[in-house]
Amino acid sequence: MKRLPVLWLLLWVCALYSAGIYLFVGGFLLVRLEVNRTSTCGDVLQPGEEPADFCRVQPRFRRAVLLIVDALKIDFTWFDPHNAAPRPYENKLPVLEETVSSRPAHSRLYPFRADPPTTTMQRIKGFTTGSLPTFVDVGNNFASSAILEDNLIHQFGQVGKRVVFMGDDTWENLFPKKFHRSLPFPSFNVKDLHTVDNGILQHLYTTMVSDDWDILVAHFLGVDHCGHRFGPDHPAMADKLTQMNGVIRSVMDRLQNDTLLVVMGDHGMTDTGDHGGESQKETDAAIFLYSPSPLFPAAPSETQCTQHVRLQFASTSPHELLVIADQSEPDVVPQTDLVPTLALLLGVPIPYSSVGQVLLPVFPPHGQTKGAVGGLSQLEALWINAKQVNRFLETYSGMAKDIPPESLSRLKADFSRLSSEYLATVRRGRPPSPQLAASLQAYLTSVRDTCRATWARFNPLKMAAGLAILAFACLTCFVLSELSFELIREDGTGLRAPVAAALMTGGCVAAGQLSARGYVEVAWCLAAAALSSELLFLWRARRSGIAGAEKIGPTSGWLTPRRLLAPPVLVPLLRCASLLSDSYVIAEGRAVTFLVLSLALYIPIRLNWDGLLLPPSHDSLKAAGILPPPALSPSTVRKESGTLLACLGLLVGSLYLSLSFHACREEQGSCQPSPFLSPLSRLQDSRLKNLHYVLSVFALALWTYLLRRCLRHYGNLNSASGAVFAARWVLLLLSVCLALYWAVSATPEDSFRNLAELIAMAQLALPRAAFCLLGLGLALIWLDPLTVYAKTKVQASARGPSVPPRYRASTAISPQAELHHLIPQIYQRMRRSLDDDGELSAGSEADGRPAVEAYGLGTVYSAPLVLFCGLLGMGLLLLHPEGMALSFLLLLLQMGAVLHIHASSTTLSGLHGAGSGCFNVPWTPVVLWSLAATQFFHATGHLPTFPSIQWGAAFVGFPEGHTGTVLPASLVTLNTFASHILFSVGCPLLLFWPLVCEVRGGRPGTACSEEGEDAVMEMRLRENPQQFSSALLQLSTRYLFVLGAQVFASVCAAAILRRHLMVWKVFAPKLMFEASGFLVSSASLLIGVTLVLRVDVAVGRWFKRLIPDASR
Amino acid sequence: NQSHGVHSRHHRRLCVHGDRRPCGARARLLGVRHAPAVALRGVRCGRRGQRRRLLAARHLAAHQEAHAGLSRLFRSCVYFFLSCLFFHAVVVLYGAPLIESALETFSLAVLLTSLTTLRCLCVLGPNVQAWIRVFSRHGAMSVWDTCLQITVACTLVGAWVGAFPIPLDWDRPWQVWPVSCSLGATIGFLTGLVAAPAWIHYHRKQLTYKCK
Repeated sequence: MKRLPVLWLLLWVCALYSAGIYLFVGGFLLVRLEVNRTSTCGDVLQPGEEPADFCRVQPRFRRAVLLIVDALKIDFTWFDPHNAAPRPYENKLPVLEETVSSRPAHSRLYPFRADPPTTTMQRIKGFTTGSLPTFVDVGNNFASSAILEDNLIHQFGQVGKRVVFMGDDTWENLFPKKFHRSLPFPSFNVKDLHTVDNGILQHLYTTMVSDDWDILVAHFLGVDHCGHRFGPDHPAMADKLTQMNGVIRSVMDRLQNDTLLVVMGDHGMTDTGDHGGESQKETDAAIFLYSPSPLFPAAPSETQCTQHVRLQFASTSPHELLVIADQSEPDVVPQTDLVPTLALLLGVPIPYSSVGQVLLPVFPPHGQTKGAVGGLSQLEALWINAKQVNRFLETYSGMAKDIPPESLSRLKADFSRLSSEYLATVRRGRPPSPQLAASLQAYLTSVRDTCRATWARFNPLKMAAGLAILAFACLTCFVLSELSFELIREDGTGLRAPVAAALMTGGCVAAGQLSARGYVEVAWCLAAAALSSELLFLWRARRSGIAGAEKIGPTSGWLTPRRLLAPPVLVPLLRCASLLSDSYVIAEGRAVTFLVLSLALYIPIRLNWDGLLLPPSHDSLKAAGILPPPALSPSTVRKESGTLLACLGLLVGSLYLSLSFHACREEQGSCQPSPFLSPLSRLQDSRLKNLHYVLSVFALALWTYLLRRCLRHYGNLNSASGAVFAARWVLLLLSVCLALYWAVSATPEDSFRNLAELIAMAQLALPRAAFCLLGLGLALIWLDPLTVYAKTKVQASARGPSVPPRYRASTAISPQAELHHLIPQIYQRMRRSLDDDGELSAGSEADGRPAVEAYGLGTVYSAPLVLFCGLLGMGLLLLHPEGMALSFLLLLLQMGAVLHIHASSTTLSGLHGAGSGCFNVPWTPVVLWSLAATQFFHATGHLPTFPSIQWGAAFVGFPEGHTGTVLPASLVTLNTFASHILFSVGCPLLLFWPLVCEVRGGRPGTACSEEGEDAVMEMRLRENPQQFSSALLQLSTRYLFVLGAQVFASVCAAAILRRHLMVWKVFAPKLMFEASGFLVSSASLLIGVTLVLRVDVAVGRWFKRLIPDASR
Repeated sequence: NQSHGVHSRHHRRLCVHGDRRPCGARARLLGVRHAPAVALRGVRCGRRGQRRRLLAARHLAAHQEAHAGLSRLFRSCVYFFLSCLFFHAVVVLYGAPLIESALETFSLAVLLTSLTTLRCLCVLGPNVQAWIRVFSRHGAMSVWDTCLQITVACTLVGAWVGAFPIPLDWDRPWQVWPVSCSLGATIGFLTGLVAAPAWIHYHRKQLTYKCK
């Protein structure tokens, strides 16, 4: 068998795909250009022409307290006195409502709308710089880096204000060495509700009383973590919010007259307590402004106003900003608006790149600057703000050309008109018209909207290159799968030229760049290398294809409409097309299930159409002249069809049941997430909890049992090798570990107080033990993958049920099962094929009977693979919520069903009947297999959106959190792409299963035994090493092709629809998930193929070892 | 029943000549002519003369046939109902809501049954083996069978395609659950009715039916 060529070719294809993905993503997800200028006191112009030092003027407030309550959703802050039975998160912050209604001139409560992505780091960036972070920043949550843009904290430092910070340590990473004093607390462990909050509370009041600060920032994390851990609808949330209520009350009591209090949430949360997306539940936080001195113009009845706001709020759409009738009371405050407001209230320049708009109600109207010292009027504030925004816009448009010129010129014209109007008003000294303020506001809003629309900047050249590389990679993959036999026959030398071309072109481009521009851009070298190697390969393939076609005859065109409409082509086409529509991406889980079901139903229909499903009737036997004689006996056909239909039933059943494990996207309105998705510790009903636990353990036990049953059935549990040890003990221990771990993690924290230490230790030790066992098992399979038990036959013992009792007792398997998969003849056959030089000793063949019996040799390739998948599946299950055990069981059942359907249909259509040594796997099962991977991605509770990533996986076995980022990231990746990994690793099984199942059809004196001594089951692969290699290569490339086509489709969707409304919400996340899913899948496929090759090496050694033994 | 089976096979052999003549399936159908119109509706074929000749040939066995016909009618009804249940199950497995709009789903199942199974019942009689056999490449034994193949396939594909617009966010009234599928099935059926004769016409040279 030619092993290395297979591996090299696959690696090459994977590299091509990765290069394409890298290029496209590099062009598609560009970061907004950061303007690295800072505002200074001198450059803010006062109204009028005279230059003045802005910072010298007495500011409205000397000091400010910023209480940031992470994930303080606006719903948490409403107070409804008529609500008799409030939910845990309702009516828990009465202090806000009390203050607003009793002291309307001192306080306001607004909804505070964040820009997506609603992750904490992005939000901190947003409300300190006043800009709109772009999509690509999402990934930085693990390792947040310092903010380089101009920001509030920097400005405070510039004017000498002492900023004291306490709370979430993300701030410390974002603003290193910017604080006068800082008390960061670890934020990563979302299970920890109290460390950060208690840490703040220890220092908050003492700091406030002391005079050692000007700006105090306190970032509480408890509410957010409580949401992540329990969801908002949990008693713990009530406790947390009540605690916050007390904190706000005591801070208000300690405030002095020159101090402003801002209580705000950085984002909201969904009903499950997650955030990151852009649904209104996630974006709408609350902001509460309070000052002991009057801050707002005395408004009418404030309670009415709040009610009004609430009503209005319910009906506003996310990007709409309505100005209420008196045009100063906003419905919703965008988060960017905090920056200019705070800056002007505290007398610092507005940060350079802020695009926010001042919050008008906190500034007195023109001419009413009565008591408030040094305050700016509304119009002045607006003017300063507009001037700053205009300056930023000018700088930015000078640096980057991404803002459309027409809107830029329109904005510029607007500003010059407004400025002349304003200056004229000021010079004349008469009260300005209210229209001026309104149009200044409109100008600021339109700048903000323009920026928001443009700041997804693309690099079309890179995107096009990525698209081209991906398209050619798909084509290459297809050609590779068609030409696999030729490529293997010529020993993979076909790869040399493309790789050489790639290296050469890449080098040339690098050298050219170096000489022309002085630096090397890796992306373009990669692009050139990948493209040249693809094109060279395709050109050579075309040439050899034409040459081959002349030999064989005219090639059948595979692009005819008839071929395109065949379901194995049509289904992937539909799947790819569905990726171009946001509705289908949103409903992806169900759409894929629909397609899988359709393709599965197609198999028996197609077989029936070809007249292969039912045994041929007597009538057609008469017409034997026309029809070919049946290859299989009627009883076999009936049995195979029965198996096929039974497996189809199983498949359909598991498909249907798998629908009940789906999670819900925020876009799906009336969807209920699966109850199995929440971890057991969140369930409050103890009976339900027990039921879930029992179900999960049952599924786990069944998983273990099925695996062992399968291995034992084929006689793979007899030898003493490492793999068998793994199957016997590691599998069992692992499942026990899992069950115990679930039990421990489900126990409520406060129920066993005296056992708390033990529980904490078990939570640490059990998953780690499971990880170790998993590693041990996988390593054992890798090192010693043979599951064959060879027994030298004693001459006297006849072939029959006379298996030595000692042996039978030791393995405790029934003699029938043993006999069933005993392959006595194999050895003779193999030795003959191995030793062509004829050193075969005649002695052992003397009685015409084999000398060696090998148990489990028929499944020598598939058994380690099945075991590997089984172990891996358990490891991945550990990273999921407990309820997902059922879904994993369904996954195993569906895998088995697909394999059996494939095997039966292969037998029925007689592909292996002739024993021609052609092991090609047709497209239908490959497509089914790859779609099933996507189906179970959804059925294990995942979604292609960022907020639905199951971050809890990072804490399995590490409840204290991590120090690095590699480990948690890889754990989360393993969790997210579990089904992709399992299906890719198991992909070579599609090649083996028809051979494994062949014994059932071939045994009762039909096609197979006609040739008597013919090798059986997987030994056929060893008989035809060349076909084995080519079939393996073909299967893998077909699988990669189907996956790659999906990646290509989602890349196309992102490229074509890049200005679509849903691009950041649907298409870009889908692209990221599809691309990373592909990378993970291809890596796992390589692992699976390598395992098969490893087994092949071991089998070769085994045969070599056997020969000297026997000839002795 | 056993005797009836032999009987009808005998008749089937009788009628085997060329491609225009009614074949076994048709002969069997004519055997149930006394049954209420439900079973006969949808089949209008053959020439008067042939029909009369056949009727004359079968006149002798009329008494036994009346009894057999009744049992066949009963079996047809059972098959009809079972087929409704089968389609309902398949549609639910395809993702239709299980409880919510069960009545609508069942109506769709009845529609599909009347467009597919009913035709099978009419053309082939209550004989599942024959149904399965008809839907194979060499299974068609007359133009009616070919016609049946095409219309049934068109109906099912139509219903399948009809499910595609459901997830789209267009908010049209015809996107509501069973409407688009019912429309698809009906349109598919109508297409099949048009397409089948056309297809037969264009392939009349290649069509050779073997009767059993």
